[in-house]
Amino acid sequence: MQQKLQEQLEKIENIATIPGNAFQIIQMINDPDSSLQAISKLIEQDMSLTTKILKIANSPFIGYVSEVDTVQRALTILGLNQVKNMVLAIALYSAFINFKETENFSREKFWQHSFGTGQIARTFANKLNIHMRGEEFVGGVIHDIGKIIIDQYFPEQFEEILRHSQEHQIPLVESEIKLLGADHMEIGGWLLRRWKFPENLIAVVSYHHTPSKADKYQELVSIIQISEVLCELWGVGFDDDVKACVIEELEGWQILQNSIPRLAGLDIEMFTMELYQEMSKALEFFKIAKS
Amino acid sequence: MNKPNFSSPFGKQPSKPSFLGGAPKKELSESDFKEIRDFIYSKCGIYFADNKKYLLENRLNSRVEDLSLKSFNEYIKFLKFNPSGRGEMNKLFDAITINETSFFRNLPQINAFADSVAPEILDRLKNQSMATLKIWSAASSSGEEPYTLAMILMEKFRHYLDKVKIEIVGTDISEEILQKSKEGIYSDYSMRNIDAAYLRKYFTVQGSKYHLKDEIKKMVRFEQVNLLDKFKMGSYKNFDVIFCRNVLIYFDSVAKTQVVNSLYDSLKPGGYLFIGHSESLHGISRAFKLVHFVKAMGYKKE
Repeated sequence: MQQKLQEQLEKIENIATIPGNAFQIIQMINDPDSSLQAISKLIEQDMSLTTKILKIANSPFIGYVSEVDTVQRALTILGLNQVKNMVLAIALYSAFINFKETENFSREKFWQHSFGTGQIARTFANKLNIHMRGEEFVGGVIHDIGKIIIDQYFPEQFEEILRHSQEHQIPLVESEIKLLGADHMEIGGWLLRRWKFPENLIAVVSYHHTPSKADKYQELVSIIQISEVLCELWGVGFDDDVKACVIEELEGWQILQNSIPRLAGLDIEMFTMELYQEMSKALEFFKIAKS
Repeated sequence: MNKPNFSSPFGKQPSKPSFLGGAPKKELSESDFKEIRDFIYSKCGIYFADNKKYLLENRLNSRVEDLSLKSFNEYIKFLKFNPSGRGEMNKLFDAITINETSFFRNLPQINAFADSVAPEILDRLKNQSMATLKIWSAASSSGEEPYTLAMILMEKFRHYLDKVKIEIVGTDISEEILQKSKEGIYSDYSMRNIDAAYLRKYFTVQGSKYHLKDEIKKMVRFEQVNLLDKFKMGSYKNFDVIFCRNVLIYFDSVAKTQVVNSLYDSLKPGGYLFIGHSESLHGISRAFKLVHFVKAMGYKKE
């Protein structure tokens, strides 16, 4: 990454900050010696986080029948990893919740695309029995975080990027590199690394257009690539105007095909139709996180 | 579309429900059901499974009555052995098929044609000399689908039309419905999905009817085709785009495979097939490449 760009990014770190206790919570969850009680206690110190977690635990999205009224109960039902991922998503969301609505960047559209991708990824993994613990959902939600940064902190370049892509009929990523020196994946990845996010999520943000580069997280990143394309095709898109796509030719699909043999015989038509129906639930979650 | 109505609320009603004072309904015996079911299947590939006996009974009751026959068994004999049985075939098709369609039906698929498929193919064709864009609406019913495609080409791709010739053909199994297609006169129901701009531009309103303008009508020709008639199907060649929507679901898998193979043969390499938005070629054909469009899917022949 160019020196100048990096210097500019260094400043951003101080602007968009992640809520202080989010990392503490995640560290505690990661520590095998932490008790459920201690974790619940820490979460409960943050009222707004507590409310959100309880709302999510009680939402039709989770599908649990009886009322979940304490954080500890939510942790038991959702599992530690789910909660960790939720905390990450909510933390990241809070960091950027107040970003400005600009002419080129619809916040509403951006979050719909993000949560839509997350939900598709989640259903995708479930239906194919790919073992994930919520990182596919959070990965979907945060995959394009670099775009917010470009729009919010490099508004002039962002406008130029849009114009340039339009004029030359090239993907936004190419214009980003040409005019900014780095694309939204590199910028997003850089930020998450600085914020000490887990490696798998950094991989999602950095390589969701090129999952083969994601090393040991190829499977996860492949799921996100496919989910994002489907999300765009279903009208919950954000950037490039994807109008047609052969799913089987996506790099991510080919990677998954090697590790999941049953993909070869899958009725993709039915499968993607089911994913589409599930996507509506993403907007449910979206409303909760927003409130 | 020539498909029987199994569940659609828009289907033809049994003509004279007995509770309204019509003649008492005739019973379709198990053996007559099997015989007539097999006969229909052999003629047009539409298969009435055992649990659809009541449907066939309802649909054909009016035919038996109109012909003043005493039983379904007599109707079968009439179809098979009477010299005028051939004319009755079309009436039989009309009775068992339902023509549920409208202009711009299933908009995402129509948009996939307008925004992706048509530009891709026209761009390829425009540099060829004597190029023709060939489109086939298979099971075109009363003509709304092929006319929709014609309107889109006229509206959005007019600038190609001096370089590329357009050929659109609509086919259906029912002569009666083809006749209606050629007239190009429609009621409100057909217009429920059309954009006001298209309506104003390409229709004249006369009373409660909408008359399609000649400019569009003359872009489409109509022919009778039974999709299971291999010989006839073989004469349909070199198409760039085929729409065959909501037809396959009513065929059994043998007939489905045969129809899809014929359609594949009718396409040019690089051509596209659209089937109904809730239909799938999974398990029917692996020859095509599945393409996802915006909220729609299509199949490409490579």
